[in-house]
Amino acid sequence: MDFKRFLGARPPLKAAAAQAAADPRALRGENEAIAASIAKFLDRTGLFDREAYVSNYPDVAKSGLDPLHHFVRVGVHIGRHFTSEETIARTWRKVLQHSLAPAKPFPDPADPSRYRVAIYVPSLGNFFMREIADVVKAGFDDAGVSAEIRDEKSPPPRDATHHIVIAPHEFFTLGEGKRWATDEFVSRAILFATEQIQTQWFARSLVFLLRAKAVADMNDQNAAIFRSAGIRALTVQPGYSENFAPFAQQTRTPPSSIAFAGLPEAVHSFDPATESFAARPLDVLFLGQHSPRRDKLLASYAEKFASLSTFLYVTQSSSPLTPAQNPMAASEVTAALLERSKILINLHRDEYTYFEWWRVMQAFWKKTVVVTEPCLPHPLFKPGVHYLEEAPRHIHHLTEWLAKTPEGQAKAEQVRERAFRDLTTQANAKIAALTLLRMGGAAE
Amino acid sequence: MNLFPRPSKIVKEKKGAAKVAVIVTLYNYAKHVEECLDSIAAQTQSGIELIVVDDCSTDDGLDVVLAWLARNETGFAAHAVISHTTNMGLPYARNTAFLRASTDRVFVMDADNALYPRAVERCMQAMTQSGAAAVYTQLEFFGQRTGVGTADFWSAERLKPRNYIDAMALVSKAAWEKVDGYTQLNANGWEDYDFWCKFIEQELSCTYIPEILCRYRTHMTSMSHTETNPNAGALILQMSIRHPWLNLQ
Repeated sequence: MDFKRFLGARPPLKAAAAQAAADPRALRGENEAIAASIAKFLDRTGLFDREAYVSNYPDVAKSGLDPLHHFVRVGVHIGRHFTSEETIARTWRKVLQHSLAPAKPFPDPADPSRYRVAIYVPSLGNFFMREIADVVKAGFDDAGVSAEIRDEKSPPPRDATHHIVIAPHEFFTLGEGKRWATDEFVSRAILFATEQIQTQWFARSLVFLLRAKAVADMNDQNAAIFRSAGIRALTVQPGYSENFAPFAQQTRTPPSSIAFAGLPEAVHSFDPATESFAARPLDVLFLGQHSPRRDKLLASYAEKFASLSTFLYVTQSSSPLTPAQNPMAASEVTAALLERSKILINLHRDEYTYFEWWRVMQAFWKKTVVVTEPCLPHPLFKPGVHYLEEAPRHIHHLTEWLAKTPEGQAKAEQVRERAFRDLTTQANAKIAALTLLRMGGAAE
Repeated sequence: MNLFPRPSKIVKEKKGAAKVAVIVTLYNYAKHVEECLDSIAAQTQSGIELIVVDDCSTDDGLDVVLAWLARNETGFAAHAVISHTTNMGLPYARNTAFLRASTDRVFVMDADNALYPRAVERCMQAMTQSGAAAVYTQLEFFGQRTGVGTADFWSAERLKPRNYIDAMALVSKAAWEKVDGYTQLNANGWEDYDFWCKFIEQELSCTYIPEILCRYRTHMTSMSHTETNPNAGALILQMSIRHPWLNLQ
């Protein structure tokens, strides 16, 4: 896709939005073009599963439309599934064999301090998105680049050289975010994509991602899939930053939150400056949304975990995690829990075994050992070196060994030191910020 | 509570100084009650008063309890086995047990459920520390279906659409009194939901322990879930009247 043609002189944002709304014919034409570009993307990447789509939705055959065309005109708008486990498995095989387009370096902009970055995050979305925005901003602070966080209600910035939109599928669709969804704005923005490819959210986000100046995907494999379709995409995972306030300091006392109300005295009185892994009062920490798979696994660990000191938070809520509704939607709470836990358990929500990099990096940061089921490979962090991998049915056995035996504790010390070192030196937020700056190119 | 006399008789008792009562309501769970009692006997918490209320079971559950207690009575600071001479329903049976409890803290159980050994002790610690009116943990589902329970932090907002807190909890007897005990609704099944709603209305606050320490047995016909409860419609109507701040779906 040729991004350059969007970069010419443009009317101000407000006027563009008004025009788009005023002329329904133009809108229809735009919709047609968008549908065609999504179809082309799904076709080139091989992500669309024709057979599954036809057999899952009988009305497709009756419509007489080509299944792919049916999906991009009808299915995507009503949240239909467009792919299958087999199809994604095939796509991942291609990615992992490195036969897909490798990342080309973006030109280095000289003197980062002359740029001004606007980071957009949906005010109505998940707490997680805001946290990502905060750590992206911290990275720009580290790099000496002026950056500010905005939301969909903010007025258009006057002088920003770079526009970075976190979670575009939420930002452009919730509340007033719709007024930002103009070709003029989207084509100048770097979109920070957060969704897994098998989800309807991913399909819906394509409307924006395919028109963006560049795509920063937080998943390495997704970024490679985008590149294979000719899109300018890189993996961006903002990590360690001393400017990310909730994680920068140790929490001498836990934040006053009901999250801590039921915890043992030893957790309250623990000083996180204590260096020893074995001294941490919580053996096991799990934080995640409920899913049938996670429920089943946690139930199978219940007997073993009942003899350990644990914090197992499984929320049933399907609505976005927001601070107003949930005490767990606070970075300070996550940080304080990690500092007091020996081990963080990572269980995938479903069979798509993404590397949950942000949770994992947060654990590395607080020197909590990550025990996970097998994940998609990460470019930097490796099982056995930075974290420990085990089959789901043996997670609790490994956990108990690490928490309770001298050999396990020695291994834990080794792994968490290495993870912390490589996080701070090779996966810091400044690197991510400079990558985003490069993706945005020179100032317009 | 009810004005008419309580149709209960004491079958067996031993008095003594206890720190916490664990109450077990029993109705036709002869095949599960031993597992429940074994799990109470295995608690790390000392000074337990065991109270079993048999709600006029038609199986030999009461005999199973008496035989089990004959073998295990030294493990408890005090005990009582009470029998209803007529079947009175779960809320009423729990109230019978609360009335008998000699302690100001009561751990509520049903005869088909079970505990992990640290359950009562952890709830006791958390109640002391937080001063909460009740303390509950996350559940493990076992039996017909395995999984993790729906427990989460105490929140009126979260209670509005549905109940997420089981009856299995450590409850202060003063709080139980303040909310006038468990209420028999027009239909069976939601007395625990109603109980927690009354806590909200009385501004009694509860504390959640995010550890899986209690075990909830799932059956083919589990009464606690809307989708399987044939009385759901009647209960939604009655609960909406009793607690108009709810937003039942």
